[in-house]
Amino acid sequence: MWTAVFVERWPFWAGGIAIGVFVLAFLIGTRNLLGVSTGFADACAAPFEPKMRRSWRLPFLIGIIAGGFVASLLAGGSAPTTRMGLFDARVTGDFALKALAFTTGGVLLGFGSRLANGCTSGHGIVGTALFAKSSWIAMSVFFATGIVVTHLLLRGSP
Amino acid sequence: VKPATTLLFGVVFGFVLSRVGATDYDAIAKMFLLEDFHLAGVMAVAVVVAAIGLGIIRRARGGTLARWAIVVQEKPMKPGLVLGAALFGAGWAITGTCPGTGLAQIGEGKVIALFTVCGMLLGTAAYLRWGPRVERALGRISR
Repeated sequence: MWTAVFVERWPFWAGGIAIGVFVLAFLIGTRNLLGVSTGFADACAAPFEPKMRRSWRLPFLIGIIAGGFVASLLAGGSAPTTRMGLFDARVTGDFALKALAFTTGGVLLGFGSRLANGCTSGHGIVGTALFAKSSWIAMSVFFATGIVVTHLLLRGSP
Repeated sequence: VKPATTLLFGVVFGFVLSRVGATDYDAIAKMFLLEDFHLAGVMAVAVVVAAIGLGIIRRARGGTLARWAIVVQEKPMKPGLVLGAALFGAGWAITGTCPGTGLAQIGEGKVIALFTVCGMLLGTAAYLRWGPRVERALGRISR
């Protein structure tokens, strides 16, 4: 039981139920819809707007970091690593190049999610669950470009 | 809502993202390479479960459910939706990470995620600075 919950990857149906239930618990517990990228906007505005420093989204973001740590710890713990799976194997294992690539990718995620008004959580899970037209368009485009860019990057052809 | 409450929700969310394998670069890459649909399955089941719950809450008239229903709003159509989503998809593909999982990866000890998250903060700051101008330009084109 311990192994199934804390060590092995959860089966897709269990993970899906957990995230779906989390969305509902989050709404009931915080009176807000789940969304992560808006928290990044609050974090960026915080140095200039004192009001944003009290945003409920900031402790939520910190909590996600802690949650990853707890999961890793309960799974047996692992030493910090600079490896990123297939990216090392098929693109480059060079630290400086990886730092550059992942920073660039992060900029695209940050700018894109704000321009699209949501990310995988707000549009992908919550918005699609509400059958919002904007979210179904966003999620379709997320996946379409994700598929093309991953093929170009890891396969060398789309 | 108290900071301690949202912190706790964050811990649970980060834990779940990690346990379902959403923080695994290869799981995202193989989904986009159409080789392994584990995470697509996770998302599909999550959407179905959330849709059932949110549907019940949204249709509530009166009582506790209706108090929750107030915040259940769809995101509006915006001029930057498609361009923003395309940029996001490209970033998702390069990093194998989205905003939530990038944070969880830092907690897991994936050092490269520090760069992803720094990039996300830079990109968000760029949006706060230039986003409205981009949106106005896109609005003119689409009209």
